[in-house]
Amino acid sequence: MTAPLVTVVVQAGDHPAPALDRALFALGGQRHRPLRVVLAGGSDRGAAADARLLERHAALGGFEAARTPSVEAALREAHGLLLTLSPPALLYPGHLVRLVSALERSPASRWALASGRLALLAPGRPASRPHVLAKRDPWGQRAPGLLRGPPLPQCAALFDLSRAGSLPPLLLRAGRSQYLPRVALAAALGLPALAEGPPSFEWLVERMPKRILVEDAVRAAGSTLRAAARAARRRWLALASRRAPR
Amino acid sequence: MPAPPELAVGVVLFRTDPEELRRCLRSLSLAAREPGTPSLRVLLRDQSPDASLRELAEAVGLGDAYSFAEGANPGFGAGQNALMAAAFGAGAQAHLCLNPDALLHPEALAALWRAHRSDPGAGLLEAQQFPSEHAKAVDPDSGATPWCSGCALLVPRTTWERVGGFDERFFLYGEDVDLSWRVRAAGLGCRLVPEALVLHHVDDRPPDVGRHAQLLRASALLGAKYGDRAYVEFCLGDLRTLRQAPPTLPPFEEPTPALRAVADFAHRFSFAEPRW
Repeated sequence: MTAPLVTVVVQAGDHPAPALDRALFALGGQRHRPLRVVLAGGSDRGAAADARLLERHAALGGFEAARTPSVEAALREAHGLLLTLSPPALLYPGHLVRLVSALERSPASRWALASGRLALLAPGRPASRPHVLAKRDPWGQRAPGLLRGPPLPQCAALFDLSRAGSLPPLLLRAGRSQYLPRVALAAALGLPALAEGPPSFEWLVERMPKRILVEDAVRAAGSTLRAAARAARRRWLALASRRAPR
Repeated sequence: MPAPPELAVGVVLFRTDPEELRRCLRSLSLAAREPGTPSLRVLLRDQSPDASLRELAEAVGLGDAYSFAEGANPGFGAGQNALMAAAFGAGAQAHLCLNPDALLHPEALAALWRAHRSDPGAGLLEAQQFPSEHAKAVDPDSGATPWCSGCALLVPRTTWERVGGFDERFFLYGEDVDLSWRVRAAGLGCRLVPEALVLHHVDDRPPDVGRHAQLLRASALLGAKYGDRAYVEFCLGDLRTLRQAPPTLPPFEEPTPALRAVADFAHRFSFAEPRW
């Protein structure tokens, strides 16, 4: 059976050139074929510079390259399987394979979600030399985390436009955002198929989302409280054993 | 007589997927065109049971670079040692060990070469694995790191002359950590070059008991070589849990104080303090 074409719309945006370069290089390493990468929208890097970045990674043979003036135009022209990506996100080589496979296993689903990692970057580093301080898996690999965890980036989802009937206006509106409007999408398209397995993308951030920091603080406080309770119990037992009648 | 190529790139093959190899070589060819890349010689050593990859090498114009090991597979380190001996014997200034399942970023060779030329104290230089890098500690400014991975590893000629190549007792895994520790014990540094990206992703591979057992056997050998009995026992215990055969280990060795100072078994399979 021939694998279906996946179109990835990359929001060109005004990211530093190395960030876009890395996002495109990661796309060149995708195991899913056939793959079409559409670099959409203008940037302050200039059209010629963007075209060079796109072409040099297309030359690896991993995808067919195209450009459009806007994200909206790219989304309107898209058909079949569609994923939107903003350069602070990097796809691991198996990301598309996993999402396509989740949709194949779930013929009633119109979209699929996969889990990823948050990579915390050291602040103030040059874009060509980012330094990852820590990584977290805030969404887990199961439905509760993916559907109700911290906001997911666009690249976590693959849409099957042939099953969705026509491109939902919601996607067009959301196309410029970095985040997926999960609740609205679920209302419009039904629940997504979930791609099982370990995280398959990375989202680079300079600050961990507040929700994760709060969860960390709660976990740390819980662990301190438990340790204090254990110590108090040990002290009480020691005291009680000394006072016990012989 | 023309000057010998400055950089040799050695790729050891074993039942390599032809499409994977084709893409790896394509990435190499694209990176070789980038300004700042030195003159290059590619060497392919095929340790597969048959020479079927020769055809592919010829098709991409690398027929002269291909050598067949007559069906013998002595392991990754031994294969790369043979390639390094050939490369340095022919006058190369440095040798890049490259995995056949890796893709070089177009600027990777130029960045590695620039880092090599600007830092004579670097005994090993590795490209940064991408898109998911190893969690081991790295100094964000100097790139100094406790050990370098063999996936895309530049070995300068001086390192080959002073320290030698891989310990051929390691079949797969662990040989890069061992070479890194020997290099550091010799007073040289291990350096990660963040501008040199190599796409080599292993995080989303399905779990594989055989591969994990191979890692455990290599780790046990490393522990024996550096005289760490507790670590060896830990690896053997994991092998027993997995119902996998233990390795044949050499007698425990007594490392020199310099080697003892750099060896790190406290962090288990990270062999270095992890960042996450």
